[in-house]
Amino acid sequence: MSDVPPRFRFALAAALASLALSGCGASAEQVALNGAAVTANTARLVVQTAETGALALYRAEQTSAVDLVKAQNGTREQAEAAVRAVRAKWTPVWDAIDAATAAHAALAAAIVAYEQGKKTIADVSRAVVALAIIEQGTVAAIEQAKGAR
Amino acid sequence: MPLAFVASLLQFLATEAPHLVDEVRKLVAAWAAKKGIPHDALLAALGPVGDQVKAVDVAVDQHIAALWGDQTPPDGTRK
Repeated sequence: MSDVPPRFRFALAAALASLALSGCGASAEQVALNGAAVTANTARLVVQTAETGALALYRAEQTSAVDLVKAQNGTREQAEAAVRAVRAKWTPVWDAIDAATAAHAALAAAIVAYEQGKKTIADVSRAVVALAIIEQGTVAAIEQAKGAR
Repeated sequence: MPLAFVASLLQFLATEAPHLVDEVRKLVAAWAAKKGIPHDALLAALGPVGDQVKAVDVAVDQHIAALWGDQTPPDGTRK
């Protein structure tokens, strides 16, 4: 756990605590539900912020790659090849963001289903853990793409 | 107001109030047309990340075309 960033440690701890509480009484379930809502909101903000930054970097990297080829009197094909390399590098990031969006939607749906009596708090807690893990993967994918410049 | 900020606001809205997206899409298109600004990137902000990535790619392709000249014939095939 020592190599896990603090905010993820918090999210995972909250998720695991809510999972542990899922077998307890109504008030403990309420605590777990509140924790799930906090995790959902926090994860959404983290992923949204990361997405905005990633898109800006994605555009900047492509533009500077093209400008560099032009400055070196390169051909259009060289510029297109440079752009293709940038696009390929960032593909895992968009996949991770899609997965995070889906995990967030699954958690939101699980919370609503729990409130309607259609799911248990354990189901909600599992969705929390899944979202926390995918959120961590998303940020790691972005860091990897940034580091591979 | 920087367009990136507007796009960020639209992204937030799309997440928080997805039921408003269709209506906002019309408003954004009308506003962008009135202001004479390209609205593709703004509308993409209302959609999934894939749409935003495509909007960036289109802008970069246009940048390449502007620097080297568009060599794409009307039938869309590259020589």
